[in-house]
Amino acid sequence: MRSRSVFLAVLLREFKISLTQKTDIATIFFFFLIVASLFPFAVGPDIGSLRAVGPGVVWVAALLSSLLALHRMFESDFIDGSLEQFLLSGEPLVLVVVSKIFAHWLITTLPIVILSPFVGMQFGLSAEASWTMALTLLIGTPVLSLLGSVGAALTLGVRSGAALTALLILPLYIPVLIFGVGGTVASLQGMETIGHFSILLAFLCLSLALCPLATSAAVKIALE
Amino acid sequence: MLELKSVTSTRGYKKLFEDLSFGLEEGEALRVNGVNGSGKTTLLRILCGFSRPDAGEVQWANKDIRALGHDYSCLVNYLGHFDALKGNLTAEENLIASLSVMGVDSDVATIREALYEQDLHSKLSVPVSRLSAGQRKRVALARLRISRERPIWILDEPFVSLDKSSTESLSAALSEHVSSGGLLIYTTHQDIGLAVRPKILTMN
Amino acid sequence: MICSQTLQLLHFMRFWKYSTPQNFYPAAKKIAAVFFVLAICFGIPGLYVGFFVAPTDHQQGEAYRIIFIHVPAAWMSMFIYVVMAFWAAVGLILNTRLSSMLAQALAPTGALMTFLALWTGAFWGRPTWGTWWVWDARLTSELVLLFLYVGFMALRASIEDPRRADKASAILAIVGVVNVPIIYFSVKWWNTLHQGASVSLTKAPSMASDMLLGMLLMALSFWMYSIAVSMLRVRKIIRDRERNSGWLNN
Repeated sequence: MRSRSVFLAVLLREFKISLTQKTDIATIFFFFLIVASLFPFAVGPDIGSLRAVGPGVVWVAALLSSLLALHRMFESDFIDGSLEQFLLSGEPLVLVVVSKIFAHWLITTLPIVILSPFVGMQFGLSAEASWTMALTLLIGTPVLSLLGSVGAALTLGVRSGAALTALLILPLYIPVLIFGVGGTVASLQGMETIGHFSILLAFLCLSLALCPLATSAAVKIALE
Repeated sequence: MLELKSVTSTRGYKKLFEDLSFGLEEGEALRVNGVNGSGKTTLLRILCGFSRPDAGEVQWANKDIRALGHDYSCLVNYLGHFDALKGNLTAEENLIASLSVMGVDSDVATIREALYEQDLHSKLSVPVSRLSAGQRKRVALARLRISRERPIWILDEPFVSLDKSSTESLSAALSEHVSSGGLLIYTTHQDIGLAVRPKILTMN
Repeated sequence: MICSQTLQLLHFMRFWKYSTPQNFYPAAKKIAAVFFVLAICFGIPGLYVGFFVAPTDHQQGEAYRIIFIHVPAAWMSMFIYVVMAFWAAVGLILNTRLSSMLAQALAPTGALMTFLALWTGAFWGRPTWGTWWVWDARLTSELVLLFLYVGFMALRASIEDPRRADKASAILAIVGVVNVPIIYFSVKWWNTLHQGASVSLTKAPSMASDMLLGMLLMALSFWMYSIAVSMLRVRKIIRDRERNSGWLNN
């Protein structure tokens, strides 16, 4: 089926390109670790106060790392003309965009999700809460990538791109942050988390349905 | 048949061209002349479907290309000022990647052959960033050749950075494309001989 | 059936396609004049009701009267965002310039209303609760709304080509308008979770009908003012963007 092969072709292409840029990607990963590590210096090493801020800190660090990585999504392809060639693909641009977002999330954010429980434990979170947090990140960070893709596409070729992108999408990140941290804290307190996960999944479905459309429209506008 | 109907375009605050109309049949070539900044690139991008004109429409087989959407885009082969090559990948890897994304069926053997045709035998496993401008252009031209089934070729200054023999071989390829029923729209500052006499459009 | 009605509405909106900036320019001045007068007509009685007629609240004293600015400003800030997003979307879908210019004109007024709501919210909080800021649901949502307005204006400002700026900011506005209810309810949930049963800052004292009348009059006044000021701003935008079109030199 042609659509699936284009989807896979884009995925494969992104992986191949990333293999030649391993350092850039590792940098994002270490950025996550460093940001998270700043907070004990700011808040003090007492494990009790760290536990109180832990879920929020890890989530914000993951969020900022996702934000930092956004420029990798479209910028290089925009600059070297690959993006306009995508427009001439036999398949709709939406498909290419979804594949790019998915590849971007797999490469830059999934490692962070996998590492997050260990960082959680550094902040005194119980094993159960740490895994819950990892799960909220697993569902929530794709939403961040989807929302972020809209910002990244809107600011292609625009000066002050990175700061502007942050300004545009950080407000949109707030609901995901609220429920991601909320679920983790609920788990820490031994309460039910099913509500939080349902809402996070709803966010994922909604953003999966709407963001690629907005992002494709934004890419076409950038290429005009 | 590709038709422009009363197309007007503005870039920023400047009006580039107004009420432009022409038609191009299969087997015809159109050369767009004009000084830099006269709107040639904008016109070509409108024909590709990237830009939307302020007024008028572009029609393919009597249908608005905006309505056709990617049914039209998959008929276009475009080569602009950027070669769409990823610097860290080799020429071969680049072509495999971009052709598969474009949905053009090709295997490694075909790609290698196209690269040999462009005289790039020794450069197959070198990252593209280490190739000269002319060599990069030839990789892009190899991609063009592999997707030559697409009938509409829109080329913006394709002869830039090419040496004499590459220029001749590209002219031959373009002539062959037009002779076999394809459409060609191109810009160039050089005097190129095509087997088929192109129509001329001068922008001012 | 909804689909056909929407299509009919869009066809009706097509008359905007023939409403060019050139045609709208003189009309905007007249509209502005009329609505400034209306703003005063609603504003004076509104202020009178708010500051003299409505009774003193036995809990909050006189300080609560700032509600007559705060609540209407908050209502307008949200209303203007929706209207702005609407015109931006029309400009994007129908490819009309005037609609996008209207959206561009509305943004600063909307941001001003948001800022006013936040500022008056702080002034209300200080004598009542002892702090200049509370992270209650409505104030926090207003803050996020301010970010959305600023984002819209910043995106416009950083794209040089005005038509590209129109289209890009339209997408941002549409994404924003879909997110505003989500953000509001998330913030509300977050707030109740952390504050428990404490009273919201923006929960007004039990509404006497006089108070409601005062707020409605002020809301209408702000609405008229917003229209008037946006008309003047759209004239300036038309002058800026159409300066090379020739028709302005008369």
